[in-house]
Amino acid sequence: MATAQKNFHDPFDHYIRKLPEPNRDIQTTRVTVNSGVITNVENLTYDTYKVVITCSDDAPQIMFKAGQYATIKVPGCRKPRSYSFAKAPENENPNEHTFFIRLVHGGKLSSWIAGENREGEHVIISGPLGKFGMDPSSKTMVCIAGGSGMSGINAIVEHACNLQVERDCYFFYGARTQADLYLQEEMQDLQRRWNKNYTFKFIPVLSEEAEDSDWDGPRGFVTEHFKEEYLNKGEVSVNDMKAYFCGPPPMIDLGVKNLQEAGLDESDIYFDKFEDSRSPAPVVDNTKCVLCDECLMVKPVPNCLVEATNFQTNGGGKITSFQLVQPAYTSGLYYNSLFIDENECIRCFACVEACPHDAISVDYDKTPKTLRKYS
Amino acid sequence: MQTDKMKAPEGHSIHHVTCPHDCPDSCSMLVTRDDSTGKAVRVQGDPTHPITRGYLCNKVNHYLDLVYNENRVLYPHKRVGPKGPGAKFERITWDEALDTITDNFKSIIKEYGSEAVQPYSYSGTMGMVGYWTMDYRFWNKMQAAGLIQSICIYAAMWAGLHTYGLAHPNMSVHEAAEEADLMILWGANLVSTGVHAIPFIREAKERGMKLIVIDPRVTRTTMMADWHIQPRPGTDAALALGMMKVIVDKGLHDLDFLKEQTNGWEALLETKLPDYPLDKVEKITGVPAAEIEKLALEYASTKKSFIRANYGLNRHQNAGQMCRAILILPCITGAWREPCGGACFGNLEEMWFRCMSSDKLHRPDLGTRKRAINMVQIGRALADDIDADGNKMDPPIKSIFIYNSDPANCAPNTNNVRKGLMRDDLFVAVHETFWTDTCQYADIVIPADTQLERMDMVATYGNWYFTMNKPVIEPLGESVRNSELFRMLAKKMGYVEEGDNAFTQTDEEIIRDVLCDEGENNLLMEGIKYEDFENIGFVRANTGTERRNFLKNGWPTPSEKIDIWCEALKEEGVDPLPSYVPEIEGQEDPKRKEYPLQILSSATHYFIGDSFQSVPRLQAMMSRPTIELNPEDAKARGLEDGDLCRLYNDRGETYAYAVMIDGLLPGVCSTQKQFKGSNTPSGVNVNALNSEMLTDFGTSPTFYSVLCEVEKASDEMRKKALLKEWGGKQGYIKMWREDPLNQGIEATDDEILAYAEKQNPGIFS
Repeated sequence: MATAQKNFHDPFDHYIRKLPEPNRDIQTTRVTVNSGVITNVENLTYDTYKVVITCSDDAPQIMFKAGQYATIKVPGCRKPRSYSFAKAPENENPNEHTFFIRLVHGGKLSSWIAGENREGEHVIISGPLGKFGMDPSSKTMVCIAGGSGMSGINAIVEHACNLQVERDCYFFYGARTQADLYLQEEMQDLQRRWNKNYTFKFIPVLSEEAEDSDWDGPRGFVTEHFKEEYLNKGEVSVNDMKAYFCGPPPMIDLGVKNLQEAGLDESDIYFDKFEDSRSPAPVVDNTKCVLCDECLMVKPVPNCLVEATNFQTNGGGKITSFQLVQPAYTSGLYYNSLFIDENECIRCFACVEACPHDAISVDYDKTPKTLRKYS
Repeated sequence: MQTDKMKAPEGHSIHHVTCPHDCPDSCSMLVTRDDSTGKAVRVQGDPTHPITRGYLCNKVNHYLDLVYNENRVLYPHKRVGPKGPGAKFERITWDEALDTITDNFKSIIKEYGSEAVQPYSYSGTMGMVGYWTMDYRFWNKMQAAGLIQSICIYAAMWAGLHTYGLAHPNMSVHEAAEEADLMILWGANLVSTGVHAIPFIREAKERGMKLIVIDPRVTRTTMMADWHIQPRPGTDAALALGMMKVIVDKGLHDLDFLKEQTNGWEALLETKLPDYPLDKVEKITGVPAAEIEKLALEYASTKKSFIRANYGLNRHQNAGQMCRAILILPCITGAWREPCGGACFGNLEEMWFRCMSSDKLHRPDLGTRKRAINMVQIGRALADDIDADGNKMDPPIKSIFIYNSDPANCAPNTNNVRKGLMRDDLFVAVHETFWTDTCQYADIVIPADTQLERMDMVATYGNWYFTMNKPVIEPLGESVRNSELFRMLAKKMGYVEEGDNAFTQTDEEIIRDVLCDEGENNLLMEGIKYEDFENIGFVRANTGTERRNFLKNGWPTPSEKIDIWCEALKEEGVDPLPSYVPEIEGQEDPKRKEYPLQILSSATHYFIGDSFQSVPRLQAMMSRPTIELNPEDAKARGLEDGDLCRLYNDRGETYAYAVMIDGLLPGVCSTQKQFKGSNTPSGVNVNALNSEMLTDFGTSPTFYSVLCEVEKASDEMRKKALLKEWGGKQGYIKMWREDPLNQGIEATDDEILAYAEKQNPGIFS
């Protein structure tokens, strides 16, 4: 048997070494819900609008970082929609926020914007949300965006330019035709203002441009162009690269796959996918949940994550109705359940990220488990 | 203090704050301040604190709602009109408040002697400075009556001190979870009372650690266990001793450890354990013999075992022996040999008492206190003039100064406490952050601050971190922190003497010069400098110092070994070996024929004792007191989920709404401790049912040794409840006022009840 002395090692030393380094890039704000007014709507292209929302001066400031997004709720639409902040925070007035909104066929909010002049309309804006944002390293930035994914990346490159970061940046933008391109001048301006010792390059790639047009730039899919012309030719190296994707899920999936096959580590890839209500909603597992309220601190809309009781299910176990925990009318939350209403959830997954207890996931069993026996 | 751990948004700064509430976690918080308004705008967990790990609990996540709360006492007030519930107050100046208080002190001292002035305080704030520094000096100087601050932990504390002395495992539950193979949470609902342990435990379970939770209740913590064992309340000593017998009978005990490190092990093995055969233990505890045996064998299968017990156990009449039996388990298996091994309730004794190891903090040299009361027995002290020793007090208490506490709700035998506070010849001064029920009995109420408004250092009692904070915002209104209040009182009393800094030392000086002594007296501070706090905000206690190597240097007990046999207990007339004695008003008390249910008043998920009850979110999620009942017990009484119940025994009654809990032991029910009395239908919480009886040793309260009966409340009471409780106040009355049809009209209670029935048909059926 070992002697007592030997077993009595020094736990102090052990824990000092484990003290984590301060992470200066932690999200510094929680979700603020403001009412705002649409103060400006401009056409960027035939189907993409620049929309400025202004909150009142005394409203709590939405302190976002470049790359994050907000949800916007407009009159007549039951559910809010998510949009990235399109400009770096330091390039806007504190209570003004710019978004790029593209008209989507059947999209309620974008059709509402496109329908008539919306200046002066009141909307609800909640943010900031998401962890997408610039990393602090000095590795080459490879940004790949498609469609209105331009906005999140634009905020990041604006921010990087303002900081005069000491790194190169390649910004690939995928669109269908020349008519879909916007912000061309702004990109040239960024190139001029970029840190003189480093390169900024904006590369639009068109997939459906007529073959006989005057376009002399690259054609094809943006991810393929990047792979064949830059990655394979050694223009950029996976050993010195951070990749940022923003846009439609198929583009991101393909782009990430290409980079991983080329040897880029998962931790060097950041992306912001456009999720919608077709994606599965996360589920709270109440045997793991400790009711710490951290998820509620990042809740984007009022009714997505609720305190619920008296669940009714149909034969297949699907929840058909529930009652909210109401002060004085029902037992307290402790005996009931935090519950994500998939009809209200906007698939921002902020709660999944915020949960310190791994209690929220799309993979969990949807049957609510509570302490209490219903009568 | 300001920190650059995180980037502050433009125009804002980020500051370190330590949660000061009575919880084993003592979280490190980062508070964002808007520098243009001076207002705190955000709180969040410090991601660099190894225990807090970047998140807060459901209470402290709403801390700003506590700071900026409409129920805060912001200015000094004096009562106008009669005292008691419904008392009215009028704003006065600080000068008038201090003069009224000190004039009263002076005249009482002159006429009755200084012992007629009674201080009353406990853990409203856990900062060392605010909790017990300047106040102790003040009362010592006055030679006021003493106060035995036994309301929370004394039985468990003395069980530990009588066994190990000032010694604990080297790791907290969080740290131990990273290495242990087996963890027992014994009467510990950590999801609600120490949530930062949970992710450590979850990760440990994922790596293969087994989690056993021992608790008669069903809680969110027991839902996470690999194995939930439910002994009848108050029988845990028998369970622990039964486990020991199995381990010894199978030859699985660490005889070398017992011989080398413990005192009295032979007596335990030879004379005590034979009394606890499995069949007898099964009968006492209600746990099947096979389960007890399995539990014992699991426990003996590894030395990497950690037992985290909690203070609910020490609220039974037989608590001292129960806590001691549990704490001795790791001696049998030799688990103490492992850095992650051992048993504890936390590490409060070392963290606090080592801070007080020099007389510089309390300054006992300033004066001697001649008599004392036990804070648990404040009822009989005020109403019947009986002191801690059971003697008649002459003079009686003529003036009571209450701070850091709400005795009208937190002390046992509420009706007696309130009867005492109502005495016409008693002067009551209350220093409070909120308008608590105790304020209703006060002559003078003076405003206290919150942790965002002061400097302090917290010596955590559930992990090994010392944490410091400095004020982030200016004090709200005219609120004054504890230490400053006693400096002001000392000045008015003429206690400030030239050449003595007892009442002139600043908070920073107390922390810098007395608490951070770099190990001179407090060995946990060895190698730690004040500046370390300035830089990081928190520092881990130096548990690894050679001065704390108990296995090598001996244990800080009279025998210098672990005292399985405790001579001091023998002198007190208590069994010097751990043993099971059935508790008075417990499972084996014949009184159960008349009052068959034992009621446990456990900590809630939403409040910390009396604190946080004014925070709207928490109030909403715990808007009414509940009583957890086994469905069978409920059925036998014709009760259904949601029914308002009357809980009663010979001493008193309270009301709570029934909640059916499958799997709760029959004969046991559970309600919330310290629910704000004025938010309950009858005006008093469950403390109306318990007594001022003390534990077998340690002079702790016996909040859990309560037998009662439960019945459906009358219709009249149900209507009263709707108006009285939070929901009534904020719900229907508010709904009435906001209803455009009723605008401008004040309603009577009956009209509002009729309105409620209209809004929610069937609410009374």
